[in-house]
Amino acid sequence: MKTVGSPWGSTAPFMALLALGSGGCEPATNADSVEPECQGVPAQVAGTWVLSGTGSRSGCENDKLDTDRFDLSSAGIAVAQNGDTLQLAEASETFELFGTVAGSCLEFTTVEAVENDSIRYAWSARVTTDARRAQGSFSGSGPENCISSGTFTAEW
Amino acid sequence: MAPTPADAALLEPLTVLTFEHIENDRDLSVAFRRLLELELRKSVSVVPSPESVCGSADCAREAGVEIGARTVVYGSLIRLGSKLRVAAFASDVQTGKTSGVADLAIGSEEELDTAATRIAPVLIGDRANTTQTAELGTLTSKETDPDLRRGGDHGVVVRLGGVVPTNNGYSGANAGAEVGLSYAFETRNFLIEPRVAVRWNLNPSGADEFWEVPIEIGGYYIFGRGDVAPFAGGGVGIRYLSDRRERETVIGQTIQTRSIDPQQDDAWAFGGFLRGGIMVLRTYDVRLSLSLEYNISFVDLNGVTNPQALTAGVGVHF
Repeated sequence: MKTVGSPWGSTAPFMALLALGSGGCEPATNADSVEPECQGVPAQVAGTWVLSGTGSRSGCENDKLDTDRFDLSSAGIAVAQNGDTLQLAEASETFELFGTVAGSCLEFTTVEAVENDSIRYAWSARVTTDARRAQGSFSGSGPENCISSGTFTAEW
Repeated sequence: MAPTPADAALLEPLTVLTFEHIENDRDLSVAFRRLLELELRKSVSVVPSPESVCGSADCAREAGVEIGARTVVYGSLIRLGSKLRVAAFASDVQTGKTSGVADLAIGSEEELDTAATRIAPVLIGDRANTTQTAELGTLTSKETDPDLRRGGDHGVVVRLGGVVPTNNGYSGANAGAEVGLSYAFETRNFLIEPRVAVRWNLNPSGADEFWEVPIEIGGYYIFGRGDVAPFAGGGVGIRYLSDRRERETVIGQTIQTRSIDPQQDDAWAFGGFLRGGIMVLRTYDVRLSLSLEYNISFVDLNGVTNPQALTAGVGVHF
């Protein structure tokens, strides 16, 4: 398209194409599919976390571990944050935590050794506006091939 | 009791004649003579006699003189249908005086040896004269085959009782009840009792629940035969147990989950028991028993090994 009095002169067609391309003809980038709250500066979540929640467990090899409801709690977990990366403040032989923070979106994984087995949880939460807690859901596996899920709150 | 040597000397030598009989019983009479000779030889000296048949005193004295005996035994063997009547006499050959008389009725020919055993001591004066006009078949049978079968009693027993678990078995309940049905075979001092029972907990509002169905047999010794008699014993058997209780499940340490769920566990198992108590009104048709029992099952249910309980109850014996 040609524009009159355009200061771009003979480059106008090229620029027009460029403008069109930037307007939506190119494939969407990852930044476009991310929820708005998961963008921007990562929330500051470092501290001693205490988890609480409820859930259910099923599919265990030992059916005595199946339950319609359990209460979840935790000891204080010291979590360190480096930019958008989360990890334990102190390494442990029996417990691991690693995850990311994007905006107010918190995603982390815990793995705990239990006797000759392990329990793995995947946590997903939203940090509240006061940045003192996060609320979300979790899913887990183990021990004895149990499958668990529920909701939780993390406070620090 | 054998006669003294002095008594025997007065009779010796002694001879036994063939008893008077009907023609068809000659062999029987000869056999009886020999049986009697065998018995008499245990106490006195016996001289053999020819096949002389005598049923009267005079005949017997003549035969005795001819044989050279001092004492002669003679008599009659009379058949009455299948039964036999044996009359035996012992007489002094010289004086004709009768020193022994035996008169027996026996039920069958097979009892002649027993008759000879009974008659022999009478003839030589070792036992008082015996006259039995009743059926000897019954008497000799009792003498030769003592009745080993003693009387006893048997009947149904219904028992009601209470159960107190002792080692956190039986769903951890504090108390339960029992209803039992058994069949008791009771003799003077022994009682054998196969039984089946049902036990359950007395906690209708709680989540904990147990059931037990023992199928057992017990044996007991009864001390005494009066109306009040203590007894003690035990037994073994199998039982079905069901244990349902709420259990707390804790998983994890850093991140911990806790849940309380009913846990159901049941199994068949071997078991045993010890029981003691008192029988009351024992001489009556309907009797009572008060008992205390310790019971153990060899199984592991809901983490409790070998659940045990005390049971106290009252039984009515019909």
